[in-house]
Amino acid sequence: MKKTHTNDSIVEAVGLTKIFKDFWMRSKATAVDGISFSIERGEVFGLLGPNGSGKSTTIKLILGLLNTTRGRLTVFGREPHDVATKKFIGFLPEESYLYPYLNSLETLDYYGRLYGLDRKTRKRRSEELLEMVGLSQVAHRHVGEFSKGMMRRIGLAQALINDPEFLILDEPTSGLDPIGTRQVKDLLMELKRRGKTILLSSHLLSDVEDVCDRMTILYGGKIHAEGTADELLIDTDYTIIRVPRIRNDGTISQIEQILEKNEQTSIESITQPRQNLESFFIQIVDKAREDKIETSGAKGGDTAAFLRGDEEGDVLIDKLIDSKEHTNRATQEVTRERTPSQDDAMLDTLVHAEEEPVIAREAPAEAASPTSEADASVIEELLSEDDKKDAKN
Amino acid sequence: MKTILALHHKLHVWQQKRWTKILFSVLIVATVVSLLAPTLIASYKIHNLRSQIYSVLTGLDQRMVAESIEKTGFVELSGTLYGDERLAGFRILDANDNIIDPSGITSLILQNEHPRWVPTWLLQDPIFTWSIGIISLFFLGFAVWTGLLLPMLYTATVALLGWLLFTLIESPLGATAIVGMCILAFSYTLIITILKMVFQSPHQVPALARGVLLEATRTRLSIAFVTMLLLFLPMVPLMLDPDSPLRHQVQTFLSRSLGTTFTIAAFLTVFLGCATIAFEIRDRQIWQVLTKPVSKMGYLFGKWLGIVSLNFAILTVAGISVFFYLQYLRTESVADGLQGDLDRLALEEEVLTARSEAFPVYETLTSEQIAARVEDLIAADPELRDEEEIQLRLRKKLREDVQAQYSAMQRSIPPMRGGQSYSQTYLFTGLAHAKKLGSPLAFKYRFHIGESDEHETFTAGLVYNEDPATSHVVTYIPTMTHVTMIPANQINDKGEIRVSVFNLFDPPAINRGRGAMSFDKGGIEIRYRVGDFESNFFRTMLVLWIKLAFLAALALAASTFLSFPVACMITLTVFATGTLAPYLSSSLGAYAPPPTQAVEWTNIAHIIQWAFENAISGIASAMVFLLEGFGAQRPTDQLIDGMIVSWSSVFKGFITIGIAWTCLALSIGTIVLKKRQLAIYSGSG
Repeated sequence: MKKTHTNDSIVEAVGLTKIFKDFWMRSKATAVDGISFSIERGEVFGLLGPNGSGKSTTIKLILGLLNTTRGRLTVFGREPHDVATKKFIGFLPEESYLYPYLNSLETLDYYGRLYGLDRKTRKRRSEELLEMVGLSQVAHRHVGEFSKGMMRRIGLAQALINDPEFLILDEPTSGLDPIGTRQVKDLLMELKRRGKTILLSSHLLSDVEDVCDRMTILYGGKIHAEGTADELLIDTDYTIIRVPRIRNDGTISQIEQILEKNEQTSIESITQPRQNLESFFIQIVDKAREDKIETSGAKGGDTAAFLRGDEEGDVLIDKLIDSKEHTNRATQEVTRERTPSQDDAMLDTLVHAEEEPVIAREAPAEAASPTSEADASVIEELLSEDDKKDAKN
Repeated sequence: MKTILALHHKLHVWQQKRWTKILFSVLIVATVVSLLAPTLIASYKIHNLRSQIYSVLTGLDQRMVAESIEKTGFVELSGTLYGDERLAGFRILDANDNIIDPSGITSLILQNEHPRWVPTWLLQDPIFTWSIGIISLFFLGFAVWTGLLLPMLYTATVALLGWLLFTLIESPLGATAIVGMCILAFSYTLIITILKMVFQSPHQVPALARGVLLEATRTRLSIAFVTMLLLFLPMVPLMLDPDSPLRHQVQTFLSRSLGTTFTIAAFLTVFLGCATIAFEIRDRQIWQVLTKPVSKMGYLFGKWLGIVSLNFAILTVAGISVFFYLQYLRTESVADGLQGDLDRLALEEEVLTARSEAFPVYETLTSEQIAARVEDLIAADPELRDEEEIQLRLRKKLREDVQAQYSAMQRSIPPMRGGQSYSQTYLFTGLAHAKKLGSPLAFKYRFHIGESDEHETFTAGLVYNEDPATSHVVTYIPTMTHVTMIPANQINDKGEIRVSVFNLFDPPAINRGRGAMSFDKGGIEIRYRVGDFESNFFRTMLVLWIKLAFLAALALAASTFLSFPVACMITLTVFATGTLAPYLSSSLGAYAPPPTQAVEWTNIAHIIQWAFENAISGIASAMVFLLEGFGAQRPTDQLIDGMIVSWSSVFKGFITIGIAWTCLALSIGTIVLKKRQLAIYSGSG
């Protein structure tokens, strides 16, 4: 379902086009071709696409780093170049372009000054952010000596220094280990909970799927799919029923008989669920941390207090808000491991299958939807069969 | 190594503690006061003595006093004798029984009154002594309270060790140089720290300025230039020839130190100005900055402010060190005897001063006289006489020639003939202030005669106000500049003086027509004191700072659309052209590209030559037109010559170069940045 433009849109793009020209003003490449979308306040919006699809160009247009060729684009109801809107925006580019001669603290302090933050606020937020991204031990090391992962972390920290209303993240988890990736996702959920608007651009589909409310898939500068994760990914042709391990082969036969009788269908496959590698990895690291095993790597901390809204005056309000909203992150499990090449292949499948944009696509057979609704009548029948068996025994 | 680092860390923490700062502040105040108090007492004593002796030398009894000095070399004041026996025998009265240079004579008399335990230069003026004390107090206090106590102690240790080392190898100049380097380096660090504190405000422009200061202190490009300057400056005294006259040493010192400072600061400004934006665009750091609430104009202005502040730090450190060393250098010993005394007088009156210049008032022809002469010329020329209508342009040229010839005639004096010498009298006006100050005037002249052979000498006679009693003969070398002093009492009540110049050259019979003495426009002038050296020095540094501010704006503007090397090249070209514009202007006056009428249009080589030379001439003329104002401001040359850098010239430079040109450059840069798509660099998005 396409979202209509509302007055609460942070970003509105209508017929947005960007054509790069050469020195002689001849058209060289159409990076973005007549796309229309909006990003509503408080949502996490995913911008997906393979390399060269126009994701970064779209972001640069939003930030005013590029001029539009055609179409209309507004950010907070104003032109992208308007300086006033920048106060509410935090931006993490694809690569962190920071000053190598400044250390972490100085970097955050510098950008904090550009936002007009007073000294106390800058100091507090800098320390909290460094703690959060796991760089507090290297607060006085020059950024030029950082590894790629550390650069991404400090880049993320500078994007958050002003507690932005609208956060633009271009490949935020690039260069981060799975722990760091998990922390970024947790942070995004935290920010979403606080009503922040986030534009997330990535070609790592697992990152996007977990956090985005809506997403748009670009290819060749055009939108080929748009909608919520459920709208795009739910396969209504299949049902998954999750039960503890079945030890009795006879049970399987009975289930199959019921299915044949009631649904005129049969079981296509029976497998044991597999934990995905990311979860397993995080379990191992968490255990090692509990055992207090030494490491020289970056250790992220809790989300910064100001990002949680724990600054003066916000704590009580957020507690009241929290009592109404309840996000059950722990119950979601990703049951399929994905790799970038698989992601690209999947994207290709999505964008090449039909000419016109579609809402939902057929999912591969291994896909497991953790929150699929089961057919209640079949379950009840299965359970009643078991009860009868127990009673016989 | 680990122990040293741990110790350093402990000391670093210790120096940040408040009680440490208070303790050291008390120590500093106590030390400075204990040194300053006796110095001030001595300074006031010398100052009072100077006033008393000066009033005696200019009072009603000055003739008696002068005779006493001529006889004994001493003058009596309240029962005490002051002076030096070496002064005996010199006539210090002029024809009107006035002492020739009372302030100079006073200085000579007081030479022996300076206490040995304090440097002479520190006692020149109580206000100066106070300034030294207060500056030292603030300097050391700031160092303590800005967390630079430890670096100060380290620097002092290095300076002490270096001084000991060079003293052991009997190189006092080397010892002075090493101490100077340490002081300069620390002073520079202190000023930069203070500037960073000044830019603490959490707004975009100060934040950007502060960022530039951090960049300047941490990137190799800037550190290299600053290090070069801080190492070179203390070594300038080593390059002075101790056997040359003191005034030449002072002029050489001023020329090399200020010239080098400005050159290095200019290069640093160009390279840093171009790098700070060009590299940010190339490396995309500008994306992170301009996606914050920073306007393009604010971005450029902040960068400019940072570079201007850096130049302020450099010029302050260099200026103060040059000034203080100069105060020491001026008290160095001179040659024995009259030569030395004249050297010191020349130093004080011609170099360490601020003088203005007066040129002779030449007669000009009236329009009617010019017209009549032009008609005479036309009538005398057979080619022009028969022309029915002489073109306007030709008439204008003839009028200019007539006026120029008349002017040249006034600047030419025929040689002696049959024992008769010829002269011209020149009127100088506007000298009322000089008369009031009473300082002697410097009559500067540069004559041409015959073939202007530099290996020959000639004589000329000078008479003031047509009074034969003032006549004297001077010897000169053609094309070289000479100076002779004229007592201030020769100026009349209207502030005028007439100087008659006699050509005393009597050529042999075969060379009768070739002995005329002449000089260029500006070949003779009178220079007179209108101010003091200290404020002149300050104005000089101001003008240099203004010029560097424009250079910074130019570099920043160029780098908004050019790569680093190209931006540097363009900026340096403009800088060089601007600096050389006055010379270029006078060269263009003599340069004549081939006129269009003379071109053979069938000859391709002629056409190319015509096009090329006219293009060069056009470009050079345009550059001179645009930048002559930059080059015309030459405060260092004026300072070295003892000429005044007036407030009006400073103000003019501030308005044109500092505001108009700088704003123009920054505006161009802002427009370019606004139009430019920053996410495109070399065609990639």
